Amino acid sequence: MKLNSIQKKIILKNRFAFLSVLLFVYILLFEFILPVNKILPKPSLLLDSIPVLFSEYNLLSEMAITTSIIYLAIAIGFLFVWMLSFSLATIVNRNIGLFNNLRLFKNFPAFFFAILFAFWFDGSVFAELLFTTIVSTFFISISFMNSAITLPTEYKDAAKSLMIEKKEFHNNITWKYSLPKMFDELHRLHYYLWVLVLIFEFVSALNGFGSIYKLALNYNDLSVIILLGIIIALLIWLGNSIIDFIEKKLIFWKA
Amino acid sequence: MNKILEVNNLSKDYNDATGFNVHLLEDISLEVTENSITTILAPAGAGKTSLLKILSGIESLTSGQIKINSENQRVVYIPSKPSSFPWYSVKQNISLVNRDDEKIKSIIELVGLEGYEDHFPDNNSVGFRFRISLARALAEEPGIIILDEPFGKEIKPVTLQRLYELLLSLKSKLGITFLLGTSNLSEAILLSDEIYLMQKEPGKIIDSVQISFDNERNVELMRSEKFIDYRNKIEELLKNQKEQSLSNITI
Repeated sequence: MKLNSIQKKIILKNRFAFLSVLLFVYILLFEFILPVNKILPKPSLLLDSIPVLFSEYNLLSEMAITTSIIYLAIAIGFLFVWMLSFSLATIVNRNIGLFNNLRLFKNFPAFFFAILFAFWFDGSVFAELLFTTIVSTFFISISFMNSAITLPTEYKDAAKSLMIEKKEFHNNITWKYSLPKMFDELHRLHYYLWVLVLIFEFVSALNGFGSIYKLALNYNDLSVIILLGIIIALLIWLGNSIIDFIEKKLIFWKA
Repeated sequence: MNKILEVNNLSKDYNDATGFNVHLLEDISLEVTENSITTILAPAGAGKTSLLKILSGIESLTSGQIKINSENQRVVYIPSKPSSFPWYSVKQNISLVNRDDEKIKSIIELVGLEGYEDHFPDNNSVGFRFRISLARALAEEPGIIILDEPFGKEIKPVTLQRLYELLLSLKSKLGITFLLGTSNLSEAILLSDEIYLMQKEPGKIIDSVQISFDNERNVELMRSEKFIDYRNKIEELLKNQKEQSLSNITI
């Protein structure tokens, strides 16, 4: 369901109020009532950990690695699917059985693939990018094929009757028709890739946010674990907003 | 008048999903005269859409013959559901078929979309989207335009009236030949020069009626005595057929 601007403002206002209450309770409870505990760190300790995160844990460079890999993988995946889309649409129209079999892979948890790839490639940045791009391309391909298969008969009939060539039909009709559904699925892929990359990096413990988590866990550094969680949540929110913005600017029609 | 399209003994069989052989169309013969509106009046499920798709070359026939007696053998089919592409503006939709700007401009004027060249088809506006589909068909400069239940049931009466007038003016001013498939009897009488009555199970032409009015065609004609006479005559013909096979025709 698409929300109008007033509804969006109300939701934002409610979220802001909710977060403010949580923050207030957190400060009150853990700064003044329970300053020593094993659940959450003191808010002041959290603030003290920010410079440590930059100096000791190399936040900026690790953030650059993780975010570059995720967003590059999405961009490259989209580009690949765009280039392969004609063949993909042909496959799905000719061999629905094969397409249904391919969909089975979507049921495997991200964790499984992350572990497998870390095992195969020993955790280099290149391997991470390759692995994430493969997953992203596969995911976007499936969402394109899922959409292309539902292309309305009236579009097909009209194009056939107007003698629009196959390639032109694909570029002007099938691809454009599929874009809104593909963008909807992009949000799911975005979350999926974040989980996948974090697990991969955590297991291989060489690069990215996952490696910071591994290190923080080894040092029992709860403040960094919490801080990193907040930063990742903000980055995911920002990523989602960028996807929404692009969708709003480029895809104004409903499928 | 020149018979632009002749169909002789056309039949269509197909196997459904369970492998059962369906005899959809049987021994269909009809003729379409140049610069006329010929209508196939049939209940839903009679195989009207399949017949129209076969005539426009989208689907194949099992047996029979289709003959087009015209230099321009292009037949364009406009589906019953809106087929204009919502991601393209009016102009872009037409330029998919014909890129000549002057031609596009004149077609846009012809279908009454001047001022809307850069508008995008709204999913809710059936009339607007029909005009775009019609403009796209005209850009192909076809010999015949086939319209499959073009107006649907959700269209507003005022819009419907304007679309009737548009079709009639395209026929009289430009000499365009239309083949229309509908289940609406009043629409068929108002627009057509000849009506073929089709039954279902199997789809078969059972009769045909020539329609002519002394006055110019417009919706006012629907109240005329001659219009009512035609309606009574066709209703009588329909009553003589199996009740269930024609029960879905809208009077």
